[in-house]
Amino acid sequence: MLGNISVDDSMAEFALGQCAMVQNGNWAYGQISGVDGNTVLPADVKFMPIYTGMAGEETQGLCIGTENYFAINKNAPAEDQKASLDFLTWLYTSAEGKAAVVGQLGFIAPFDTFSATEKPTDPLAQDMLAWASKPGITSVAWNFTIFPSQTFKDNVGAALLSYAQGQMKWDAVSKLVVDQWAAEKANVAG
Amino acid sequence: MSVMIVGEENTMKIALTHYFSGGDHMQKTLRKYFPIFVLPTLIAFAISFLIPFVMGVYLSFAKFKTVTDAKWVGLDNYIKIFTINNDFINALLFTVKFTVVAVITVNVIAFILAKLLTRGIKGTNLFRTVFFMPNLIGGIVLGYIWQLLINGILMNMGVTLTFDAKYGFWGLIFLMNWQMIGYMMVIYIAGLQNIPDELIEAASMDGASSWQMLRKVTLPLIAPSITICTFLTLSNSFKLFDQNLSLTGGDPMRQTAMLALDIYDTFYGRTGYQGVGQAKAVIFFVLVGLIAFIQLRVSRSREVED
Repeated sequence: MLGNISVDDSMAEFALGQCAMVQNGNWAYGQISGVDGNTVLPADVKFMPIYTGMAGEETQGLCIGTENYFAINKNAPAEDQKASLDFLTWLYTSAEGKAAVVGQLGFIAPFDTFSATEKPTDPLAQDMLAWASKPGITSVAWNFTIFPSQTFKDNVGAALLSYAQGQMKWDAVSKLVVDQWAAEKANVAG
Repeated sequence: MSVMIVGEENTMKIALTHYFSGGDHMQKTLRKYFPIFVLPTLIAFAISFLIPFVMGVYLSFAKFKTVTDAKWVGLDNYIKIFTINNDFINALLFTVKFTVVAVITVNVIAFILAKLLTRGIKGTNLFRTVFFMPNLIGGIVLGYIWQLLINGILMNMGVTLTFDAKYGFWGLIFLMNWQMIGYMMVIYIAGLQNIPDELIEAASMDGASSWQMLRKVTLPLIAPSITICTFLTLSNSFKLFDQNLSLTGGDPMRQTAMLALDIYDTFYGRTGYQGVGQAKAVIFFVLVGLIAFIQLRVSRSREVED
């Protein structure tokens, strides 16, 4: 049943070769390779952009970016704030820290302290890097940061599920998206 | 044998009377050390109830992300409950609907089972134990197990528990019944066993029908049990959380979220709305208190004094 499928389920189906495509990011490789009885070869795990039939999408690349930030609590004691900054600097500049970010966390760090060779070696990260440097292809900006709130995303997700189950008309879904955007923007501002 | 027991009781009474009234010195000492003896309990009560409660009420008037860093915003949170969306009102309506149905079904079925299991049928004790057992399992576990079971059945119809709010509603009602009936049944059985046989015998000699006997003899005499059972089912249904969280999680589209789950979702699911969640919790507390108070008043007035 659609409403009961979790991300874990769909990643497992992909890893077992029961489905050919699944929507996810490069962080999913750990999940795919970790499934018991995995039948998908590393060389066969690739990305493709989400084509939706819009004009000009031939040059569209992958959606790349982030919606998470490091933040330091301004109310914390000054020495704790400094210690946090020192730790983050160490993590993203020292050899040991960078090795941990790339090797153990599998992050593609957007900082110039990382050289071209300091990238994760899993197939999805490699394919993503290949897409990002393809000539004539423009990566799609990761615009979740301008979404009003997590609640907005949850509500849209729930509405899309209802639509997929045939309980909601498309008009109602698009109306909900517009209304929720306005309402949640107002809530965040207030 | 019984004479001896009465005798012992009397001796006991005399001894106690002497201990409390005769020993004037004793009473003084008791009064003197009273604060010391009550202190540990008082401290525990303050730490685990009073302080969190007062802090909770204070936080409902504040904007905060961590409880130690709160900013006073007055009634802002209480206004936001009703202006950000209709979640709270929807949850309230759903909770009221659920509570009404659950209280009726649980008590009626528990009473019928209690009636059946006080007739001396073979294996009565086994049945009583089996019916009581679900009450010993935790709500979260129950919710997940029944989610699997109910979904397994609904699968045949091509739907799931969270496909439509009505499946979630009846799923919750079923779960609540399954869990509470045994407990209520035990209370009703105790009540039924306390009805003097003479009364039943006298009524049947006077030619009362079984319906009359139920209405005029049994029900008035088990009124204390009815009070306890409706109180327990009412407050448990109204405050239901674990089962709600694990069975439906409020899906689809928060239509099956009851009040406690809505408070939890507001507090933990929405950054910056902890204060609003707290304000909802205070309203919830007042509602629960009010309902319990009214319900106890109403059913106490119907009880038969003996």
